[in-house]
Amino acid sequence: MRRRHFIAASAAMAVHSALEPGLLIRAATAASGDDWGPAFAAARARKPWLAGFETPASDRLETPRLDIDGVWPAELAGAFYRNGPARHAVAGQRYRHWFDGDGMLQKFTIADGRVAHLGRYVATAKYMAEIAADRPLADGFGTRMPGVPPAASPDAINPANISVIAHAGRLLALWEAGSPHEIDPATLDTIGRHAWSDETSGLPFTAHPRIDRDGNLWGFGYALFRGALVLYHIGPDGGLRKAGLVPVPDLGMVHDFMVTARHIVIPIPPLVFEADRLAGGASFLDAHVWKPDLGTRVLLVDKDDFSRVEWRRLPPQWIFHYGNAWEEADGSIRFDACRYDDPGVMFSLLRYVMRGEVRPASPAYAMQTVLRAGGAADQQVITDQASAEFPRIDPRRAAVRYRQLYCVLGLGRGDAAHPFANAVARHDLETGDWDLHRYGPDEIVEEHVFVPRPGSTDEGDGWLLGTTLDAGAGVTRLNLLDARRLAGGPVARAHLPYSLPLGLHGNFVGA
Amino acid sequence: MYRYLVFLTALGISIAAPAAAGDLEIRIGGISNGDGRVMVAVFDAAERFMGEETQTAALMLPARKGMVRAVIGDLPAGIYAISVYHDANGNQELDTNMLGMPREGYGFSNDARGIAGPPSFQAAAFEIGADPAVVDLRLSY
Ligand SMILES: [Fe+2]
Repeated sequence: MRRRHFIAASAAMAVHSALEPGLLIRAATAASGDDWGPAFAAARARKPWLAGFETPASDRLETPRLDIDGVWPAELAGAFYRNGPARHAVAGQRYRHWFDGDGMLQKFTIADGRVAHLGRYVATAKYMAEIAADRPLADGFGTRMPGVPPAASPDAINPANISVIAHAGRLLALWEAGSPHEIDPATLDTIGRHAWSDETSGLPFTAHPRIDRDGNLWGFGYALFRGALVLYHIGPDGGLRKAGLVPVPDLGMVHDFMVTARHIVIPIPPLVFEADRLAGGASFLDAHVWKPDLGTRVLLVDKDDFSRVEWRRLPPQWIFHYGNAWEEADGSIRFDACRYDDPGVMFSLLRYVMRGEVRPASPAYAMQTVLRAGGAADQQVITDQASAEFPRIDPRRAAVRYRQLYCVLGLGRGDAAHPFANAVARHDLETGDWDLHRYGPDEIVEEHVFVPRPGSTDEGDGWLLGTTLDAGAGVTRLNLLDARRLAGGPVARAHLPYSLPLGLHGNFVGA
Repeated sequence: MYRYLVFLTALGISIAAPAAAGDLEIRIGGISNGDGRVMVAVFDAAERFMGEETQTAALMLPARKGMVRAVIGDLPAGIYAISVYHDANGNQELDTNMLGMPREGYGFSNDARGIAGPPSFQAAAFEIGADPAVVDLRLSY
């Protein structure tokens, strides 16, 4: 037995304890007197839109043929997959953050002008073990569960609940900080955890990998105990081309990143992980501390050589999502983002909504940033009239100069029935024009993805496809809009006979 | 110091009759498959815990899906801690990824877990006294 090897391995175990709780100290409120479930139920009776934060009645949701309005174009054929937290309580113990619950995949199959729906949980190790035990066995992103021992690995608590993406013929359900789970695209059966190599097996992997125009998949992961970012380059054939590590002091939560023709671009907001807080009983989320004095460090890595890195700096800001980035001839890098002044939304609104409360938080501004070749940086607000989120682009413009940015907006906060997005929008980055559609007053607007029109090549020639939760009717709807004329509203809709829990990200996979 | 190296050929059969003072029965659960061996190390002091060749006893047990057990006899009264890993591919190493995270099952007595490395000796510690000791632990993968 090679003791030294074992020791080295064990010492590094903490790396993967990205979400590992460690000690048995628990938040005083967790074990008893837990009123989050009852508080939510009481609020739910008054606020129909809280249906978006309920666990579905069944572990399998299926509707072979949805009622439709308008005409679903025959040329639009494929499946729209979405992911999001859905199992919001385990054995009656309600999670205390939107991002905690087990991921449920939603598949909308579109063919011959018809739409079918299938919803199934990702059968993670955590989900299967908790179903079998009928009690919580793992802590969540924002919740310490009572009586739960420290996690053995990130994948022991991986709920696979943030996104789903297809690459090289594989459908992958993604979390923030553990292995992707491979999914059968037809049945939504969980095939198992996916590893691109032994060396990268079990490493943290982002919910937001980027696929470039050549079919390469680029990814990163944050290894907090190691104080390093893991970088991945997966070839168009699905094989690992290379993986690397970049040490980052004062590392914290990093949700999304970008690639350009030559660089990986990773802004690191100053939301710093402090392991002592985790040891002291804080949730993974609460083990992070906002340290605006650090500013936002921006890591630039050569795509061809992960050891070649450069650092830039931006003012402190919290960003979940970037739309796209590209690089000018002189090396300047331009990107857009939905930028918050601080991460308060994650600590307030997205937490207390789990007990049915609406807490104020700073909104997200759509922003454009230029990192100049010489090291200076400019940031410009695109809109501060509405809170913007879920930026997407025409995938044919990934990592190159693009003109159209799509996102969802929260318009007219004062009179809104709910605190989430109520419109979908297109912004022309060259003219500054907005084209938007505001949905009905009871509809919560989820991410809308761009689907290119088959046979077309021009940027923006296609559709936006996205779901809305109609709290008034108590159903989720799938909406199709002409991406060049959003103001006309959906050209086709499909109506589920039930509501789905609000989800996060998805992608369309052509037939 | 007592030192053992025992290879058990019979699945799940103890190597000593249990229930004598100084006997230690180890039951290792949660084994995912019967490939390879389960590697067990027993340490008798914090300063020797997880050290290089500092174990009081070491066992290589044929793996079996579910649980394996063994008994070590004649340990002096005292405080001990156990580390275990499942050498499924039989290369006598705990295989890891590029960050050193285990890719094979592992565990410690008391099911102790460290937050930034292995648990402390204290967290994994148990006592052998006048009565035979039984340690249950589960592997994590
Ligand atoms: Fe995201």
